[in-house]
Amino acid sequence: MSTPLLEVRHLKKIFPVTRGAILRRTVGQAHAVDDVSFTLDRGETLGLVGESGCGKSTVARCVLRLIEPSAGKVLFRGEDLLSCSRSRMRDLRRYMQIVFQDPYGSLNPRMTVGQLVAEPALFHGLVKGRREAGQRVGEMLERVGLSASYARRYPHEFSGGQRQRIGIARALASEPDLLILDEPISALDVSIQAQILNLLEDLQSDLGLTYLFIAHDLSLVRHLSHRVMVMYLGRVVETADRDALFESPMHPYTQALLSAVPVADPRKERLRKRIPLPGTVPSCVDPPVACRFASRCFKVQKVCTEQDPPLEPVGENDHRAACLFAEPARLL
Amino acid sequence: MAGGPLLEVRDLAAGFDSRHGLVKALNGVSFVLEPGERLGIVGESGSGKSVTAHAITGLLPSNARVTGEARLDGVDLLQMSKRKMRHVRGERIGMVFQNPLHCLNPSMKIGAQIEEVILAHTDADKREASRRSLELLDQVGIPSPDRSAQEYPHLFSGGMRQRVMIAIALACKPQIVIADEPTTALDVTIQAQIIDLLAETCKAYGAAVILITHDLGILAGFADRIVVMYAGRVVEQGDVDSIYYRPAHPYTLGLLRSVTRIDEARRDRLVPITGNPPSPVLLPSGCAFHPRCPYTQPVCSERVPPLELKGGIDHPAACHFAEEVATHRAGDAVQ
Ligand SMILES: Nc1ncnc2c1ncn2[C@@H]1O[C@H](COP(=O)(O)OP(=O)(O)OP(=O)(O)O)[C@@H](O)[C@H]1O
Ligand SMILES: Nc1ncnc2c1ncn2[C@@H]1O[C@H](COP(=O)(O)OP(=O)(O)OP(=O)(O)O)[C@@H](O)[C@H]1O
Ligand SMILES: [Mg+2]
Ligand SMILES: [Mg+2]
Repeated sequence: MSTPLLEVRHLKKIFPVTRGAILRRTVGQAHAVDDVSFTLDRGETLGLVGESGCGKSTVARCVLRLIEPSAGKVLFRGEDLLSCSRSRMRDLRRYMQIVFQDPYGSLNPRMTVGQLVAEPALFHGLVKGRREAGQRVGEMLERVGLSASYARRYPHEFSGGQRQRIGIARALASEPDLLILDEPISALDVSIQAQILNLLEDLQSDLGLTYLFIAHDLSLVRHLSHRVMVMYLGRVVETADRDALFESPMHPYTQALLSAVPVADPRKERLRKRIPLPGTVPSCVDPPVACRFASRCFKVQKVCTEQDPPLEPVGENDHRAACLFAEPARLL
Repeated sequence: MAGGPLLEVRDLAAGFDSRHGLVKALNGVSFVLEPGERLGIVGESGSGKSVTAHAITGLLPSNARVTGEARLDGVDLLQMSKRKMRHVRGERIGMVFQNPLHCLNPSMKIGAQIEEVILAHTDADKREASRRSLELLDQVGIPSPDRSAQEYPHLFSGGMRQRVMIAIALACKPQIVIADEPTTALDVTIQAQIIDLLAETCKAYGAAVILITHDLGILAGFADRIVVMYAGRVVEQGDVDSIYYRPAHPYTLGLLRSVTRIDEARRDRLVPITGNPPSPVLLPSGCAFHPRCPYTQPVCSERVPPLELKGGIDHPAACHFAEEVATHRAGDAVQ
């Protein structure tokens, strides 16, 4: 077997929780990401789902070392990112780019689209001089379905969907292997979402890109991913091939989550039953010591509040779930 | 009022004066709402869903120019004084918006905010209002109402605040509840709870609901009838099954083909609607959808298609070629 493009092992991120404006003191620790492991092969898309605050973006930021993980390993093409020097990290970033949800917030409004798209390529020395840069910009814009003539305009002149295309063009300009897509289309209208989904699929098959696709909309994840990982309160609770996850989810949380997603089909929707999910997500400051989902679980037993269930194999093709009572359910 | 619809909106148009010219937000919107009915209004960002809701309830800003009618039990709300409209809003139409923090007073306890609404719009005394507010908090699933009533909105999660908004909307037993994207900011599990709660409580109070959203999934399970909006017009309306299974407007068809579905193993490729929605300052001539429409013909840029019933279709659609769309679609929008 060849080395995976990305391998994350036992990743942890703890944020100090501080109080007081002048005399800041640490009053607790937020376990935002707690022991997350996964691998990502070349050309593959891993969907990362879970409710707000479960740690998805923190995983992404740790992988790119935009923030320093508290523990664990991140191997990119076998190379340990957490022990490499700053300058080596800068070089490697060329191969790993991120696209954010809000293209507005992440595109400098004072730069033209051309400058924005050229920047990563110039920074990494992939193009020299204005002519080459301009050429690269034109190629990238056309690649994402925009006209090369947009290069002279500014981000605010474009719609949300067009700005997201600009964000993708910019990410592509340094010829990356890995694209981390952090809710890239959540804010867009469905007709525009569909356009961007198709674009991402085309780019993957043409350029052999690898995606870490973060979203809270599970139907987008089902459409785009090959494998899916479900997070709850900093932990991975289930991971499986796409169809296995959606057709026979094993973890009670995955089941509850899937049952809550509405389907655009009135007859089907009338027959569906939701799994109730009482209460709210506990705080990741002092999270529950045993199963993190126990307080809301419809299957909870005494043992669940005493033992921390490991993420264990529960089916074919490395289908894993962290539940002592994992059992398949059909919900869709 | 006997026999007539509860709410009848006719030829509603709204424009805003702006630096870029007249923003034509609504260009003739008509629909009816029957007592106890659940109506869904769907359409993309900027199609005029919120402006419709605000126009009906007298909440548009002063730079708005509104024409048309919105009759509640036969009385035109658009002709009413501001003072009377305030009463209509509390007593007969309750409202739930996307961002409850904008609607709740941050420095007032939850219980007191509900009491205030009851005191302003009914002849209940302080004690009765207080009793009612606890009852309402209980009905919308707020745990320990006695204690929660004493808390301030910022201590509540997004889902809990939305429950409080539903309690306030129902406080005076309105005939209509208008909910404008009430769950857009919430996680899907909370969304499901809020939508179910909205359905249950409104049923218990006998209120009709207008639910505004861009999510066709939510409406599939919620609505009795659907109004589809595009560029400030109603392009198609009908009961929920006919819209999903027998769409007759190319825009509705395009929307249904664009949605990814959680219950389906991957279809090969989505068929998105091409292009972008038009600017309301510069609407295309004729049918506003024609630049994005795969069925477009010369007539489409010349004449605005009226919303009307056509042969062989069980609900009205505003398309010159509705019959062709309905037959060509080959039943593949939704299996
Ligand atoms: N800089 C920080 N300091 C303290 N806590 C943080 C910080 N960044 C994130 N957190 C906390 O870490 C947890 C995980 O946050 P993260 O942004 O990774 O969640 P997410 O899954 O991306 O959520 P969303 O779907 O809302 O984007 C949250 O509880 C959050 O409050
Ligand atoms: N106060 C205002 N002044 C000028 N234009 C406005 C005003 N309010 C709304 N508009 C414009 O009217 C059009 C319709 O807006 P509306 O808010 O009804 O859309 P919507 O369908 O609710 O969209 P969304 O799904 O984004 O909420 C938009 O083009 C909007 O920019
Ligand atoms: Mg995030
Ligand atoms: Mg709106």
